[in-house]
Amino acid sequence: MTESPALNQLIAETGEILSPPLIYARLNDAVNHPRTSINDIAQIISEDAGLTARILKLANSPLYGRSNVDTISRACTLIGTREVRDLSLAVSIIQSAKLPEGFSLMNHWRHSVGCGIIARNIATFLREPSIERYFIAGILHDIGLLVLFGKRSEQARAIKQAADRQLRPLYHVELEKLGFDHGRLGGELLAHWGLPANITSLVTYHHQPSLAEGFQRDTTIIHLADIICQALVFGESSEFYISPLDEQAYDRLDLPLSEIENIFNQSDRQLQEILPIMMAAA
Amino acid sequence: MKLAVDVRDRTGRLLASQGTLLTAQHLTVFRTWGIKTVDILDAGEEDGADGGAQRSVSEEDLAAMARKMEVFFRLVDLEHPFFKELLRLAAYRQAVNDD
Repeated sequence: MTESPALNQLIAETGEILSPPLIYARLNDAVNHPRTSINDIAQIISEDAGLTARILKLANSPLYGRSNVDTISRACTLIGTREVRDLSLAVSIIQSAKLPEGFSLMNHWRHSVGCGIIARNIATFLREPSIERYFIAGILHDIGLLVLFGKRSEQARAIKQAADRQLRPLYHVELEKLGFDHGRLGGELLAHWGLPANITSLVTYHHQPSLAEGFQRDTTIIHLADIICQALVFGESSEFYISPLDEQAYDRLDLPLSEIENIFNQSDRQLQEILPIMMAAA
Repeated sequence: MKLAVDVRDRTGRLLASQGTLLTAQHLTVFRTWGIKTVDILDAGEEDGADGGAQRSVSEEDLAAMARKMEVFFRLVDLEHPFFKELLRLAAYRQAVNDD
């Protein structure tokens, strides 16, 4: 629990619009148990036919080099068991979110999955270890916005209008009006669900990576991916204006400017294939 | 000779993107990573049917589109090379899509 009662209250109410799948808790227990085998993980996922199909399609998508994966066990070998657990969560969240009319979930997920793919490609270029967590953190980076628009819809709209009118980043106005921003809300929610700090910190500080103690570099990758996504109109983030760079964020990564176009073009092609897998009805 | 599809190693790591103009160095890298064959574009495809990635937009159209899109960049420092590059790419993408 956090020290903010308003934030705790929102997290407590989140179950009405978003909840981790029941399978996630079992997967989490299994992954953390030293005697669990890949087959045990595969057995749990296989109980959910829709999830199994999506994980297999993802494992056979261009993200993993079209690897002819036909079982969840092979997907776990290729992607990693923790990564499959977290992908299962992300895929299930996309499928189950319920939002009020007027909020385009398609645009939201297009932006979020786009951000995840770009972050993964930046991490690959920079030869970072464990690249899947960038994909997952990217997919979930704006989950706090879903909670705000789902549970405090009028306030969320008023904050967005004020940000657009006053030419300020959305998270500035959120901090002023709520005492926390959508990054912090999302990060706290994911921590409440049991996700590890190497994902929750990236979500919490995606607008201010310099504050992410211990995860500055990782968070900067999500920060840049989010901005690239906003600028190149991958879906629609809730920001009308492109978010500013956090101080020294660009210099922190050593990402050559000439690489941005390649990363973007590659991500654009991957998004065309990945998004339908994520969004398709079960 | 341009690549028709992305070339990756066995772990899925990208070695060269679709549309890359192949050089002797690329072939050395492919051999090193065990890639024996790659798909390439036909001569006709190279001239413009490669998914729009190489479509040309005039400098004037690009500049006009960049001016239109500057409104979305109002909160950022357009003197920063990162945002200059993003504006250029965003304008190009929009100009190609509008074409």
